[in-house]
Amino acid sequence: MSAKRITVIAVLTAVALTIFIIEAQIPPLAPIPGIKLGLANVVTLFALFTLGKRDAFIILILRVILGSIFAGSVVSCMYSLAGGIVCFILMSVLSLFLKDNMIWCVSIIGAIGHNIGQILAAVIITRTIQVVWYLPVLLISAVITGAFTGLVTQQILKYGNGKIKKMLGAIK
Amino acid sequence: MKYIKVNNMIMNKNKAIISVLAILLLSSFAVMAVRYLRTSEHKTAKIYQNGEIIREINLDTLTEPIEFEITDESGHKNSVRAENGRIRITSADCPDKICVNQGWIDNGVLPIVCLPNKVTIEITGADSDIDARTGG
Repeated sequence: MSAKRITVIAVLTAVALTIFIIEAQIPPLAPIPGIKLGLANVVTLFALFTLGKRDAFIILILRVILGSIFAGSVVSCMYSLAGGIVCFILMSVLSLFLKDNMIWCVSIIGAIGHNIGQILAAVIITRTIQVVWYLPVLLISAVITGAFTGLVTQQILKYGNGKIKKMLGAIK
Repeated sequence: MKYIKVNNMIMNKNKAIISVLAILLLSSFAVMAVRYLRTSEHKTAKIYQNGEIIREINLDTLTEPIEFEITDESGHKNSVRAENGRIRITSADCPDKICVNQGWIDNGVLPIVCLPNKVTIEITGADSDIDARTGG
């Protein structure tokens, strides 16, 4: 792993962590647990479409663990990891055959995967199947928030693509 | 010719994904509507701790509000208040207070869940017998 790649991963992790912690300070959008914008996913998506799967996964896992240390607990780390991993698997599969103008779809499916992962973790940890009834509400919110974060990523890549490619060119 | 074919394939993939999303959205709304309608009368609140029912309250026959506390084996507490047709958690010693902030629930769309204290409150409708049996 070259020094330049390590640096790019470190910088993107720092950006994701900053977004994550600032977002954690914002009061919840609705009195329903699990509904949030998920802006930190912009960085994961960005890394997925510019650096590739392996680096995006490293950034995601680092952000989740560091984010839980700074603004969370051991339990919240388990929920975030479960959600993050399901989200990442779905997004990396979709990124294989969806082009840059469909990143919003990748993001929506990722957000849905995140909620499914979190609910599965909640069912296992609390041994209460009733948590599943949150899924329909969270799915609707995931479509809205996922489309938003996806469109943000899409615009970043669209308007900064030349410069980003030049910056990251030497890494691959 | 080849280009058009490839282009069509991409368009079909996009259409497939957007249709899947649309179906997911519609079924989510349908599930919520069914759960709302099923609990529009004969409301029973079921309180679960660690996945087991610890108390059942018929919310239709309540004339006076009742208040009680749930304590788990490690001493965590949730205070519950039930009135005619609705129920809420009034205080909890969990760090996030999401269950308290959720306020009153008077239908079965969303149960109240306190993840740290593993307490769940759900309102079920008249045909809850079948539900309870299949839900284990």
